[in-house]
Amino acid sequence: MTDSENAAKAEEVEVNEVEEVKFKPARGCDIGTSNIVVSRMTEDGTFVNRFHRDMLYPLDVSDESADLLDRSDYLFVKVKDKYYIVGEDALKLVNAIGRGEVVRPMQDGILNPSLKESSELLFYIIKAVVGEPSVEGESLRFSIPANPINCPDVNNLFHAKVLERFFTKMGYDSKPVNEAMAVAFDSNPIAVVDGEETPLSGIAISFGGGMANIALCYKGLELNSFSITKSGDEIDRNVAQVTGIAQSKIIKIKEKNLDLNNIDMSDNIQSALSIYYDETIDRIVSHMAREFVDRKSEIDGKVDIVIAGGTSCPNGFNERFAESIKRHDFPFEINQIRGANEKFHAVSQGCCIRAQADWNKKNK
Amino acid sequence: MSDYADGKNILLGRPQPGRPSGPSKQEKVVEKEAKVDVDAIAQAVVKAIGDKMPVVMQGNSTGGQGAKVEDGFDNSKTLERLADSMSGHGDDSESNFGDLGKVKTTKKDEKDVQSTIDLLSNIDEGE
Repeated sequence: MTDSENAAKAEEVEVNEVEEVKFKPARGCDIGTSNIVVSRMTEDGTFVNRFHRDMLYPLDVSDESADLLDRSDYLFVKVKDKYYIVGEDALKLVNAIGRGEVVRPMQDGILNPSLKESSELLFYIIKAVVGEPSVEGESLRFSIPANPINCPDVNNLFHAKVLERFFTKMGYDSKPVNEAMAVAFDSNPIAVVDGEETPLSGIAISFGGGMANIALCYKGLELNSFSITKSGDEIDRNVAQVTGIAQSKIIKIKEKNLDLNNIDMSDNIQSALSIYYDETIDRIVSHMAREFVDRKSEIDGKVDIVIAGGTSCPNGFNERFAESIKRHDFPFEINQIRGANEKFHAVSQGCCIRAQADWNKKNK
Repeated sequence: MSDYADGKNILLGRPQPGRPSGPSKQEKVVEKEAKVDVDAIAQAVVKAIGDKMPVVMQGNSTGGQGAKVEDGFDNSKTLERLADSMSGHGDDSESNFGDLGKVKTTKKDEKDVQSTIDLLSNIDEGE
């Protein structure tokens, strides 16, 4: 048995074990540009997170492609005249074939307008990752981005409506939640005023693939939120461009080997990743500082900044982010900057916590 | 005839129809710059009523900004119908999987999670 077959079997066992656990009737769903993550909470307070890479590799329908799919265990969706290999296999296939690029049903945090079948493909994937509701009208919260400040034509309303209809059709009682607020619900930023701590007060940031989402909150209420495009995918695109290496390979290297505290500058890919990480962090922090000043955002005391999202996962990210924060002026004092315990799952776990609150309120 | 002389509007000094030519004895003219700090008021309201404050749904939260287009017409029904028509799949499409994804479990402090849920359960989102 090969390593991948072993891995697949281990995964299968894990999934089957999870199915026997008793879950609370609420789900959180992070519909990201790069990944879809669904979180449920068990009766003993454990989060069970299911995640799937939100990417596809298109193949024209032909005898050859049908034969390839017959002989392999690739998972696919067939829409009109194309097969779309889904998830991790899409990335493996594009790296193996060495030509073409993966496509995504999402772009810059919302449904990809340049992919005609984006909503149909996304629906297939969501149904398979989220699963059926365990009780009638199970509460579900799904993340949506704030409208970006550097892309005024992008509006999240239609995206939110389409997703809400998806989940309603599946039988959920669903509502959107701001992506950065979901990070706050998961990681609980604190504001310290005269030595007293106020929960769910401060700044939460989700560094996703398509964009960074930022929210300022007070006692769980959203005071201000916005997003900034050009996040992790932009780093990959730029590095691919300057090194001449396919973006799909850059993604693999970034996710497996990147340590921002230990960059080998003789390695072209690592040094380019390091440089573009710096630029991306600085761009986001600079926009953030200006936006909070322009909006006259104020909050008493010193506030925490909590960081989450796949783009913030490499070791050393928090330190670089903190250095950038020092170089910019904010209209409030910073208490501490910390990463979420589970950066990759923080948004969906936060959505799950919010959905649980909805369920409790509904069933009082 | 011009209303201006030496750069000043001479009409301003004239009595308005139905108005006295100057301030009455009872009337005090107070010239004070009215400067309203909306943010400060909002902060004060948040502090004063805390959890009970309904969340004002900005576009960022639920996309509300986009519900009204520039001419003032509410197009949210159109968007809902469009979303409805797009939230499914065609009869000619198919997939070869029932469920997807890898699973990872994590554990958080139960008390922390419960206190967050309790706080959020008391927030009125203004529905």
